[in-house]
Amino acid sequence: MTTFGAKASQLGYEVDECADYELTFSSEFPMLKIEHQGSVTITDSKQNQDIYTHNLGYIPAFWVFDNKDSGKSRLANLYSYNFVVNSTKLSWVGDPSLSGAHTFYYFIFRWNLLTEFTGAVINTEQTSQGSYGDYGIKVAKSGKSINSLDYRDYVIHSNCKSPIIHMTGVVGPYFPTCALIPHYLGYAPLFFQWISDDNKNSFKLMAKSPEEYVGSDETYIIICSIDNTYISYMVFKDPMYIG
Amino acid sequence: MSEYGIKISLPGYDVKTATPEQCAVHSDYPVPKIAMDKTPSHFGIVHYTIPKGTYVDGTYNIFVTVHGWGYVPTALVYGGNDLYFGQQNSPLPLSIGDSLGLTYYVDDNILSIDYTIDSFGSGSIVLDADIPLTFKYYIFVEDGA
Repeated sequence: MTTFGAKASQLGYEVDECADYELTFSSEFPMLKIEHQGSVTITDSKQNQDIYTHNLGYIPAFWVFDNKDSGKSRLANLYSYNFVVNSTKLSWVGDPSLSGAHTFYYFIFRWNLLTEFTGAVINTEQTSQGSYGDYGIKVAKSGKSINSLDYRDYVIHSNCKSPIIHMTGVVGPYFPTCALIPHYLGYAPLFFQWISDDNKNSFKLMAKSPEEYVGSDETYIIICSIDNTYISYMVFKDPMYIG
Repeated sequence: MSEYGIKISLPGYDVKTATPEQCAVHSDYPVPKIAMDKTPSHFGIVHYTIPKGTYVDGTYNIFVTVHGWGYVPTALVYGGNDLYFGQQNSPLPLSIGDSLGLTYYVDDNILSIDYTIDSFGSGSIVLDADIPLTFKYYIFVEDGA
């Protein structure tokens, strides 16, 4: 097949020279595309509750944010095992130790958590943000004006950086030692992770615990867990630390 | 309204038949975005050391930055103890040991990164060594509440 493609850099970066993570997008790499986002109130946290039926036919990546403190948001790590996604829906798993109502904000992404993917490492050398003229790309959401000043109205925008997926996969079910997965990026990358304790039929948010965590350095993603679990990981082209 | 849009497939997929999952960009599916043109920056690295000493139970601030969106956005913070690989680069909130927690919140104006001390009843704890911490934060334009 003939090779076609497109890429655009972030504001102020030279598209032909910049690092992968300084791109707004590249047709070489998938991005974290939002299928659905919204707020949900769990009316009785002791009981199970369906949150959203996605019907994607696969288990999608998802994020959940805790809005328990009114007017504030943080990742819902404290409720990580209460959110479970399968191939049809995102659900709340009731917890007898909790009480009352809780409000959360969630994202479901068009990405199968069982996908094994490794993107090419084209350029990881950090460049300087300079002035290369007023070029770029912006794509408005359906029904939104291309002149909008609200970045929420855009699918993609060169004035913004967005998570570019470098690598995804699943490890498990046995962890006699922590799994070391080379990522070849040369810097410690940003990542996200989910855990399955039912043979990959569903996944939950995974928060750090003494036995279960995911970390990264310049060479590896390190994944530690207990036996009979699977960890789905997603590595982004974005350095945690550089220089 | 006429239908306009953009669709860019990944290598090896025909753009005319590619599913959203087989596309790098698809105008039906927005991506999370972090504004690059804001001051102070909406992403960055924070280094902080908790000095050794005695700490009473409570919440202590590490870092505050103003995003000024006027609504509660989505934000992610990664961080941990620089001295131990297994305690680095994890998404907050998280615990380091039994009594020290790292947390954050974002509201309609600021992002705040904090640590918490919980002695589980004794009222205070003693840290017998400095704890160097590093964080990376991302404030998205998407709603978070």
